[in-house]
Amino acid sequence: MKRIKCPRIRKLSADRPEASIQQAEKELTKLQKMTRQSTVFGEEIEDLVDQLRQVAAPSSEPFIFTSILEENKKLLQSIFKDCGDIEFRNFDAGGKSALLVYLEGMADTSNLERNVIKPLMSQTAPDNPNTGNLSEIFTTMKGISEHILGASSVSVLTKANAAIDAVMMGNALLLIDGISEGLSISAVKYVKRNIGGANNEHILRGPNEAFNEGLTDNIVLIRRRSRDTNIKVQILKIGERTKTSVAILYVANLVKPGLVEEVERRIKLIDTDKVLASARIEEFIVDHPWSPFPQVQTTERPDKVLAALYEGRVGIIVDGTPATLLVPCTYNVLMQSPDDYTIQPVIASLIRLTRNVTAFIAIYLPAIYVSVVSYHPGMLPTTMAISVAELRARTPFPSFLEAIMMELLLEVFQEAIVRLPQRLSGAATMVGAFMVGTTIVQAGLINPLLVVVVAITAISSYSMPSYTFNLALRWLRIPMLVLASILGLYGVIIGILAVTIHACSLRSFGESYIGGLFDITLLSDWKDGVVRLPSKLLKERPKEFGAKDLTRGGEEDG
Amino acid sequence: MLFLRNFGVGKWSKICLGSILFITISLLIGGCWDQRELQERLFVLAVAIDKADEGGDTKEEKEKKSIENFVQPHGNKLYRLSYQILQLTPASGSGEGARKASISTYVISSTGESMFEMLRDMLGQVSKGFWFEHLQAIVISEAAARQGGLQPLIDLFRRDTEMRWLIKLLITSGEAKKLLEYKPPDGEPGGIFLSDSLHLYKKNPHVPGWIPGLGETSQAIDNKKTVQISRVELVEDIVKIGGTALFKEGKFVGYIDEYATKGTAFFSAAEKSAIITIECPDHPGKILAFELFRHETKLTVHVNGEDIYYTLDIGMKGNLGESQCGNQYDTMDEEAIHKVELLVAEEVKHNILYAFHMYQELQVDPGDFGTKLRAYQPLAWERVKEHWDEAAFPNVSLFPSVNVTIENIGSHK
Repeated sequence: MKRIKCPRIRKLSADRPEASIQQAEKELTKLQKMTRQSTVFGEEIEDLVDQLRQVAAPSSEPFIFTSILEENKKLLQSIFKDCGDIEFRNFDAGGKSALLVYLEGMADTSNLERNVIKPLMSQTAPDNPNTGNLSEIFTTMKGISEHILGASSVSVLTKANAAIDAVMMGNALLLIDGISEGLSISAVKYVKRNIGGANNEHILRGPNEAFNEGLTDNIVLIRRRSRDTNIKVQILKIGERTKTSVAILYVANLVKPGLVEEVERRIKLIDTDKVLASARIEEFIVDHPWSPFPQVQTTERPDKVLAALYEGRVGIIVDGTPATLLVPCTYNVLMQSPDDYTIQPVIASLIRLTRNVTAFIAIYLPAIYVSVVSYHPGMLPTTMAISVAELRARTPFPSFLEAIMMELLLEVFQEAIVRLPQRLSGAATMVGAFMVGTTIVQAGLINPLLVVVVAITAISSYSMPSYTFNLALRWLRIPMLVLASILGLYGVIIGILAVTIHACSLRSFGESYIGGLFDITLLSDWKDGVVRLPSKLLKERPKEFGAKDLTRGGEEDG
Repeated sequence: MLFLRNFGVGKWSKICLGSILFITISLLIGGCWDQRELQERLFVLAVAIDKADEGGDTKEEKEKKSIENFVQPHGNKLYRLSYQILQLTPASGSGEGARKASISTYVISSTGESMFEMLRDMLGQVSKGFWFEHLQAIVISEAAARQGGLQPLIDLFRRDTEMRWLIKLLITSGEAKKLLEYKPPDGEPGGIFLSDSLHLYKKNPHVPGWIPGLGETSQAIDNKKTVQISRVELVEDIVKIGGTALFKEGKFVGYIDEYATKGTAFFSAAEKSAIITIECPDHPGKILAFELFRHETKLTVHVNGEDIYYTLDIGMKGNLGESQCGNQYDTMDEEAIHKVELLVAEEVKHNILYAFHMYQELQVDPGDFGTKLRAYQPLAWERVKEHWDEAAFPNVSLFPSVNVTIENIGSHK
């Protein structure tokens, strides 16, 4: 028999060197280099254009104001090129031409008309008694702002960057021929939501005002609740492009030394183009971004923020987001609700204990169910084992698959109800109730006991005061289920250990996430932690957050 | 790896990813080894051990027996092992009424010598594996116990990991398998019925106290003590538990009746409650019952030269539970009540001595006496320990002294 000679199969690159992966990589890097270079070129050309355009501006400024109004206007127009909502208003002020630049819709035009344009234009009238020193006043912006303008908040700007920022914030910029300065007139007025009730953290008794999107309004909501000059507000601008205002709030004589500086440092380190929601800030400043647990407390309630500030914590309000951040954040504070303080202490204590139990149930109950049913049915009392076995007698799937399917179904329903328009979500609820409650069980696909287990788990996780913590519990259920299905109760115990160790080693701005609960030196924090004692007995602030002054009362204040 | 590098994954992250992968794979390979769903297990609720040739007299049953059999390389056909197995009736979804109130069971058997071999042979009669973690009771027939003693019968159940210490042991003089086939009237499985019935020992002085579990029996065997096992009898469709079977060194010795079982409990205050009946003081032939609530018992051993004797001091408190002495009998009369107290004390003494003499006749120490002697009079124990049960124990004497207080009489003026 003739043997067919077969050429040895080799790599393609051995025959064709240009097809090798090193070669491709080399080409790729070359291409990347070229793209990079082209962007650099582009930037350089842009810089050259800028340099040609301006007279002698320092490198950080786009231009400098000149004393010729027409030139200033041209420079501004080149900056605001194609910004259709920028309004340039020319008028005559005391014989000189003036220019008002503002953002349409952000500036209060009637205010500007009344307090800026009208007083300035009236200066041209010959019967004005002040005409004598008019020319003197019109030499500086300071003079104009002091003598003529009726606006409440003005500031003289000499730098072009500051002037542009002022316009973009909604202020009006006033330029007058012959003066190489600008005047920023604060007349911000834009459409915004009214202060509404707390939708996501509704409580039964107690205040129900909630933050809205405006930073100043939000700060007002806090200021209005306390006449304390020690509440400090520090405003930073974050975001390369959006330049979002971020306010850091703290009580100067309470907060743990170094905490504010650390918060400030972390916020300043944020390197991003945009900040649209406070969650973005949260992700940048947390210690462990990969952990499922929320390491920053979020709230939309001003009273909650104030209570936290007086415990020595720091609040972060982000412009444009009602959800305000509170740090440091531990398991303990996430387990508290403002309602705990409006009901009787004994009841509140019981509710808090219940919450801790339900947190445990929300993570581990399905896992315990799966491990007991598939690995250790001997642990059940005999009569219960018999009834569980009868319930499961015709179930086609192993308990793990069953549980995963139910969890999946539950997540799908939750997602559907959240995503659907409000009018349709009722329909989704109905479908869910019918499908799971009756049909699936009747069809024998899933046994009723598992439905009970999953329902208890879901309800337990809903009872968490913090939505982000609820999400963490929901997430943790799945790995626990997998562990339980592979190793039975050993797996569940390994899971409990892993979660506990992780939560103990997790730090939020230096405070252990769950370790404070087990720290004997912090035992006095249990008074307003695991339980809640009557307010008369809560004379001390929590030690955990290291407040400078631990006594709440006045007489022992230092 | 090019892909990973693009995501900025460094050396440490690679190691982490690798170890996570390793752990996951080893868990998936090594885990799940004993996973068996609840409904995939056959609940064995009770076990019966008979002599191989016991029962089965009709032709039909003989035929049945011939198939419950296998070829056996070693040993003889000594025992017949029967399992009571839970029959899973699925709870159908159509409403409450569909749930069956009773739980059905069925019984399968095999004959052989090794219990384990019979167990595995019986797998030929079922479709799922046996599971013993909810085993409730082991019923042993007297004939099987007499044949080879207790040890070969329960060794498997003491050794295997699935067995629990609270499995109840019972002895019957008839055929044990019949007890597994017995269906309790309220629909619960027979194994649970037997086990729960024994749990009533707190109120029922006719079964031995907290003794007949497999664990306690094992301890008694290992400590070479007398083993006491409850007796159960089945006639027609009536099951009755009462009385005790005694085993000495694994050998069946005999039964003691309900009265002696109650007396045994008084030796060591093993009862929580007991009913003690006496004749009415002034109306002979009529009955009065004392309900025991609390008692304190102190058994003391005394050695006087060669002579060994015991004193038993008992203080009892309880109620006057029932009086059939007629209306003229005045229970409000303190004198009369005091008389009753004395009579009850007499009755308890009688009961104790009745039980004690029964043990002496059977030459079996119920457990308390030898232990006391060894603990308090070790020199005397050394002298008699070789032949304690046969020679020394039947000759010791017991002097009970009983003090009874009646607290409540349950009547008013």
